[in-house]
Amino acid sequence: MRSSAATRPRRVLWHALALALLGLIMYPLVWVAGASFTPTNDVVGNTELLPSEPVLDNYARALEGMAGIPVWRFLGNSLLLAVLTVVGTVASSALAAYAFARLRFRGRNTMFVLMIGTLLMPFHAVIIPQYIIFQQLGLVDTYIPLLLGKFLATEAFFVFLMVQFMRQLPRELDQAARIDGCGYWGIFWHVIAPLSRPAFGTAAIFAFIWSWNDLFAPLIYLNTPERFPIPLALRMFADQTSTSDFGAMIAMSVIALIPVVLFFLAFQRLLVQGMATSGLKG
Amino acid sequence: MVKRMGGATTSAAAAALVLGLVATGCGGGEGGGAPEIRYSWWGNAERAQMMREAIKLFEQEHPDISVTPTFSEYNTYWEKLSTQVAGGGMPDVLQMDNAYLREYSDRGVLLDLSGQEGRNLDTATLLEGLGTAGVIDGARYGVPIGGNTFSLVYAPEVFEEAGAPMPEDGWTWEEYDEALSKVSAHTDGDPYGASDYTGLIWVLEAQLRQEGGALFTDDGKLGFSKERLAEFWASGEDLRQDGAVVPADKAAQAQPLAPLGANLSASEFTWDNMLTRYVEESKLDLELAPLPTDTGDSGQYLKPSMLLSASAQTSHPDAAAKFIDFMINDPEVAEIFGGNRGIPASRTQREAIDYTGVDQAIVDYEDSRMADLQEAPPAPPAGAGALETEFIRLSEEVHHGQMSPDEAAAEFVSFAERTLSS
Repeated sequence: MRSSAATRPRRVLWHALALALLGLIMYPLVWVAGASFTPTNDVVGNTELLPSEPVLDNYARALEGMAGIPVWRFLGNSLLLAVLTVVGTVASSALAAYAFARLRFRGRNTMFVLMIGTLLMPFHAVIIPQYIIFQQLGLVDTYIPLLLGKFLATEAFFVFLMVQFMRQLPRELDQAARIDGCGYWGIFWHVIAPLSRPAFGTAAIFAFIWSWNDLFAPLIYLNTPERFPIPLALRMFADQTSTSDFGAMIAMSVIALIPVVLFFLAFQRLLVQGMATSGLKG
Repeated sequence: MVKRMGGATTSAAAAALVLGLVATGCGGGEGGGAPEIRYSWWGNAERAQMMREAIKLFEQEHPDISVTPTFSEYNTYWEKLSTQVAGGGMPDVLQMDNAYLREYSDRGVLLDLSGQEGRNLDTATLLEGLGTAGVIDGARYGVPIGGNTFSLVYAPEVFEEAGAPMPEDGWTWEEYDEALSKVSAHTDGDPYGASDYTGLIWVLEAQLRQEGGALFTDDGKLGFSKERLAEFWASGEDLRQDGAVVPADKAAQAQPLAPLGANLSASEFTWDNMLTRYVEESKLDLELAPLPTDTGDSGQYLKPSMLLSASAQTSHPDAAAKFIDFMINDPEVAEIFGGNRGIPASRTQREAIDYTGVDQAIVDYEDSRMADLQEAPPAPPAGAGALETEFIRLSEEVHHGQMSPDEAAAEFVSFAERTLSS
């Protein structure tokens, strides 16, 4: 008796708190969605969630793109970059991680420490040497500087993530596969890779989002406006020295958000699985 | 959490470096063929569209030269440019800000265009007050595209209704302060008379110039004392206490809009070309007015709003100069841009535009002030941009009451000494 009487208010309180937290987290997102329908001159300093007179102008101007380049072009560029980044990052990081987690070779620990060390190196410290290299190679204003590193497992964070994941997989599975006649490649392909799917999924989601949001690297390496991804285009709507079109900027942000959300929804299953199982099921 | 890609692995970098050295071995040297120049600017989407039209026009007139455009927003523009300068990928022709001119010319990365003057580049068409803008120690590192004047934007109706003194030539700072108190009292702060003008380094500059001084001395040192700065910041104390100016917290909430744009105030000191923007943002009818002065001198001058510079490494200096000439002198280019780049710096372009309402008001204002305008100060020393940022930060501390004017002034002057001597 006593316990059920006590749990009820507690449950109500729990839900109320959860809802309040949700409201807090959702507020900026709802504001952005609302502001994208607000006339552009009223956007700044506006605290109302939903506009009293919703307008579609912002979307019309955002869809026009800029300097004669349609917004689809920017979205397409971003998508191309993001998809290639995901493919490159997952494939190369998986191979590197497999080597670190399973193979024995000379200097493995040193190389592992060096790789972790690159995590500590800020992007700004390497940008100028990297720029000089790509400039001398004549590769500036192509996508190669943005993608080459992704295919060479330079994202130490993902390599580390996968190494940790693969280390948990029981070695007995490798040995069983070896008895069945698998070589190193076979073990990776038939045993490690399928079991590491949750880790790959996590890496894919993060790689996609980071690539999608990356402003600095495309800013430095790309010159031709037709090759710009969406974050560069977004910046053009708010130039502090001329008039800013905040409405169109926010509308374009909403458009830019859609692919990320879709990608997340598609792969979220893997992310959750990765967290829930974190290893093997019987 | 690391969000960016780390460095390339050592071996990959080494391999690429070797390839890079090989590539340099074969490149460069000839400089012949059809010149292709890369042109970089900052600005909004609207400007990008106009630039493309202007470039098309240039390519029609100079079929032998092709221009590749690239653009970004103001802040990212400078991030990108500093990387390009360090990495050797600088554009041939680039938009330059007066505040950064000396910094880049000191590093020797800008082309001295004086050899091109009279050949491919005509600078005789520049307005009198702008003729020497972009020239440092006899070398022309930049050509001004447009000019503007520091001025007062205000809402005549609000001032009139409050019975405040109206702006006129030679009105004093005291009269202006009185007007602000009257406006704020009359409207009960909706809107306030002005934003707190002691937050603007340009107001300080105007006062210094009215007194015969300058923000920077000719050899690039600070042109005012700690005491003068403390006095400037303290001069706003009464206005803040009376509620004559927008309180600091309200101004902070309105950002990125200026108080005038956010309908918080009825006047604001700013560059006259900003009228375009405020007219769009504010609900009030706005006009330009002369600066208050206690000496009879206005202290106003024509400042280059933007300049065009060329890279010292360009392999096509002639083509770059021709392009700059076209952008600053061609009447059709002026028609394309209207007021987007500010009021043109050359007479050929200034006369070519059919100005629309606001732009016409700016031109009229500049024409009416022309007799009063003084010679522009030399390009500010390297680090001037950082000083302006620090000035804004410290004046906000003063406005919020976190620091006394004396403390803030002492900190600013020591910061300036460190920055300007390095």
